[in-house]
Amino acid sequence: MTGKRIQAFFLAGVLAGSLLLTACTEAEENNAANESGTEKVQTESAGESVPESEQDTVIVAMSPEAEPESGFDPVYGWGAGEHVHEPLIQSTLTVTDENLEIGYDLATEMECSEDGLTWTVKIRTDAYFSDGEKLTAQDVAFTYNQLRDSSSVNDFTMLESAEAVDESTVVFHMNRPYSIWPYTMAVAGIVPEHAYDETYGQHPIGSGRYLLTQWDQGQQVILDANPDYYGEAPEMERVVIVFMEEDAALAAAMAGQVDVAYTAASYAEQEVPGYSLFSCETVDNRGFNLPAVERQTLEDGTVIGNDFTANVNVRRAINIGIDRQELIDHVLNGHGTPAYSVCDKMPWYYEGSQVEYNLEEAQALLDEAGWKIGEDGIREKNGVKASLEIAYPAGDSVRQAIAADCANQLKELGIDATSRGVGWDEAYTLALSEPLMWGWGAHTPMELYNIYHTNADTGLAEYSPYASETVDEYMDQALEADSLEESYELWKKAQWDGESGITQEGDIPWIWLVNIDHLYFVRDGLEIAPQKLHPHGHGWSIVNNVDQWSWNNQEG
Amino acid sequence: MGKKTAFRLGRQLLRAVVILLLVCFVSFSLTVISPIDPLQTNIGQAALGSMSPEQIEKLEQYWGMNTPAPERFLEWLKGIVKGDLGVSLAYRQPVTDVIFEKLSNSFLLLVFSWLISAAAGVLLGMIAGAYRRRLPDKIIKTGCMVLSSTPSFWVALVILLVFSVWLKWFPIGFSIPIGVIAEDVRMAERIQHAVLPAAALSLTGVASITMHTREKMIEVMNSDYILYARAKGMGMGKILFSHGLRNVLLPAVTLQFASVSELIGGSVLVEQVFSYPGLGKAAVDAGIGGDVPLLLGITLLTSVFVIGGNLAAEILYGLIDPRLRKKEEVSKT
Amino acid sequence: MRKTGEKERNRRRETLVTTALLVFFLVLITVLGVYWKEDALLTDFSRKNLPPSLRYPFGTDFMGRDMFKRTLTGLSMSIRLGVVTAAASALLAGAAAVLAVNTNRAVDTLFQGCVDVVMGIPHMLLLILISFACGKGFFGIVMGITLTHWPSLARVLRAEALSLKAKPYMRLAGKLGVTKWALIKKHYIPHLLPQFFTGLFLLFPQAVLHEAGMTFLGFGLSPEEPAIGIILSESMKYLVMGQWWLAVFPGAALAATVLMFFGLGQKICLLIDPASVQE
Repeated sequence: MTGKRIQAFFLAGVLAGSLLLTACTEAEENNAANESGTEKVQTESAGESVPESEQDTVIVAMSPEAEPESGFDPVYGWGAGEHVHEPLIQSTLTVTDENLEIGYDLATEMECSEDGLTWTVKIRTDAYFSDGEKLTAQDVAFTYNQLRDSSSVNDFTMLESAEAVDESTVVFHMNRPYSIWPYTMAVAGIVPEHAYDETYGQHPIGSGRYLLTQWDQGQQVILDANPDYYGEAPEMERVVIVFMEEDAALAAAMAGQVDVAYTAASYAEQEVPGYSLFSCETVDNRGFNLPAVERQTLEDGTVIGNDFTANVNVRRAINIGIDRQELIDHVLNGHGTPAYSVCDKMPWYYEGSQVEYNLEEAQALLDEAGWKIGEDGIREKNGVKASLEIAYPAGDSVRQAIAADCANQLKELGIDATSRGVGWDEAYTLALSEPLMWGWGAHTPMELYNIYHTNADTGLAEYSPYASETVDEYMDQALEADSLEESYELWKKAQWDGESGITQEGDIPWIWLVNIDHLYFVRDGLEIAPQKLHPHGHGWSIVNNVDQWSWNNQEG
Repeated sequence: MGKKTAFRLGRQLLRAVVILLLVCFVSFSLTVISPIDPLQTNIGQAALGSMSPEQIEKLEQYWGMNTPAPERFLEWLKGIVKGDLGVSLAYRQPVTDVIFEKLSNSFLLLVFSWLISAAAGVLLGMIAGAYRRRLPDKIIKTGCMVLSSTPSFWVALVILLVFSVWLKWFPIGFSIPIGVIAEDVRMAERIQHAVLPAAALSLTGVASITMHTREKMIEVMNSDYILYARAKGMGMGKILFSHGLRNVLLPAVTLQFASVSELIGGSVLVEQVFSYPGLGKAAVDAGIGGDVPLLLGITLLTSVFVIGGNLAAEILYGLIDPRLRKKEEVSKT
Repeated sequence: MRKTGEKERNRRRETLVTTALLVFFLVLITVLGVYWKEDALLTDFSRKNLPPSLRYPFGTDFMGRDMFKRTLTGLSMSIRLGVVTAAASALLAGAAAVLAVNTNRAVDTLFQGCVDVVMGIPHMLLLILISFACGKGFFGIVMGITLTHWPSLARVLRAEALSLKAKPYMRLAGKLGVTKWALIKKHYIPHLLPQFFTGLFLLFPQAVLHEAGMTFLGFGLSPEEPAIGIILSESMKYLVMGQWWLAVFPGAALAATVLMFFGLGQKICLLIDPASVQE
């Protein structure tokens, strides 16, 4: 009797519980039901799991940060976001080649008007979207207008409007001259006007080399070759991207589950049987800013400037007082190159930015600036101790280690340097008065502008207080230049024109330290096509040309 | 009698609804007073770098930074009634979709651990109670004490270390195998991916239920009824399962319902360790990334579970009480 | 009769000795941690990634930090934070319970509502929310732990206070015009004290575990700070490379510390009220 009652109670409890649960999830089920892409159905029929390396499949492990959370929508940053790369699923008007010069994808010719305010681009006529519709100038204009209106991650304010004048010609009307527009065109994937809505990012339709077959959010993306692609057919039929933390990626390589696993310098010494280390040079740089004005409080209460780093000799001393090779050996286990600017090796890089490590000269510069060694070994001037706190974004262990090592090196100069992790919500404001460990490096000279050009409102540069009229002028001229070649020269002059600039001889408001090699464990037998210099972000850049990768047949 | 029960049930239900409303209010207020700027935490540094002030203003609009809080709260409540929790800022999808996706991963995990910890806890508790102050009891008691002193994520870490890194029996993370189309994923593979997280999660819940059951069991063992049965020479196994179980099961289930909160809290930590893309991990990411709508949505849903669990526990308590009274009467006669 | 008295006394002495030992160890960890704070922050790339040795019992990490000193400093912070938050939480619980019983119904209802809300949101999520509300810093963790741990103790204390209130002499005292405040001071506080301390000691381990959990998830402190959760979350990266000691040793040290707190709690309960303790 009692036993039965207990059973009944138990059942009732379970029922009540599950009823509650189903009631809550029912509403959501309806929403999810029509998303066949993400719905999970299990079938009994599947045989053994898919062989690990088929001849035309490649599995790449990437950082979870590389996953485009808002989907594969160029308007919301896919390809053209913080981390720039080719959008694969969509085509772009132009492309950048291995030397980061401009080539054509959809475009067949382009022209800029005398005043720099009108760009006319002709596009190819044999491109189709994967739903069979033809890609026209109308789609291009739609995409750019959409980018201008709603891009949540990229700046398109220089574009007034895009207009399709005929089936295959699109005209961009600009608000201001923008000579480097082709670099913007290289990352903006073209979306179909007829199939674009809010949910586009979940099931994108494009004209690129690959189609999105499946996306398990937080886990993996499966891309299959586009059979109707207008260009050369991809060699890799299927590309699987899995998103894992560095340690999981290494484990996956050890278990032979992936063909390419991104990795960090701290793991690079691991021996993974059947894999070898593949290293890509980058402009993914790390460096810190030195506020170049005296400490002051603005009207809104923000503190800017730093009395110690306001002295140019102090900044110069720091620039040559840090042994970049030591950083590379200590933190990157040798997998990096010294950085001397935000754009090393780019067509617009001024070669004279390079400096040699020289501790004595650095000491002398500091002495000259009036900062003398005190009794405790710390420099001081007028009773003030020379101190710096290098902030780094919490959660980035490489920047943390670089900041710590820099602090250790600065101590040798007699500067009381420490490091501290901060969140991004705090970091920007902090950087106005203290050094912050940044990471930059993009395939566009616009970055120079963003870092060094003054802001009309404040009269100072955006991220770290600094102002130079000459530097501003050169950069303004560069944007108005008639040709890219001409603009490159002006960008270089902005860095150093023989008299002033932002290099060691100049004002040196930022200290550039290292370019971090992007490292991968690659399964033996996989041929990865030559890479262009990777930009900031250890993510999708590696698969820019995944269509040209191939398997060596010897292993089978 | 029936009317009275119905009345009581109705009152409890109403109370649960009121609590839920309060939960909405409190959690929303907490996000409002936060000084965190969603713009700066969500848009990466380099991207903000290449942006003009107009652009940034446009973004502030998108992130709803310019609408007053009470207005947003009312909008949000209205949405909830319609089953619309807003749009996740980071995923740019309806929060309900994101939650459904994550819940479908977590659900298996939560249910399994809930059942496993209950079963194991009851079993261990009964053994400990039956062999009070003897070796099995001492072992179980010490085990429970150690377990409840150990952070769940560390238990998870050690499990991961032993079974995935050293023995390589189980995958290191994820809820599905790599590179397999959804249709081809077999249930067995899903389960294989959920085993370790479920084990870690069960372990963290097992201690409290074991100790609770042990106490109940001691009570039962001391009752006249059992003393009589033992005097009559009934075997220990029979005593345990025919008499012990029926008396400790209901309290155990009650406790288990009341500890849904712990279970969900544990899953937040455990999913992080196993990079298991479930609700808990989503909550952490939303909290760190400043994705307020998603964080609120997850809070709301999990609170429904917890409050539902508490309600179930309360109802069960109501059931236990009269029964205990009746049983006492029985044993007296 | 005398014999049991002696046994009782022996047992009491034993309890006292154990308690003293536990307190000694906990204080030792706290003091050593504070003493080694500087060393725990020190980075030295020339000694990075060393396995455990006599010099570095827990090995060193990727920046060449001494993990033994780092762990102790982290534990020291956990203990101090645990004591502060548990005490604050328990005081909050006590105050809330006494207030709820001694004022009007509205306050009591408010009290019940607060308890229900705090217990209605999964603990970890509430911690995340409060930490988010406080801007995620160290302050967020302190607030989170303080504001989320009081309800269960408050419930117990409220029930206790209610039963006291129902006592005839209390009602009489009320009628005789003894002020509420005097009643609280003379009767409620002494009456609730044993329960209060028992609850307080049960809160310590929870507070410490939750602090570790929150810093593990990345809320709260910046990564160079030696917090036990941060140490453990960093260690996850090195498990694959076989540096298991970075995870196992600090975690075990944390478990041992919490266990000591547990033990201490039980012993203190035994000293306060020998009868109340269920073996």
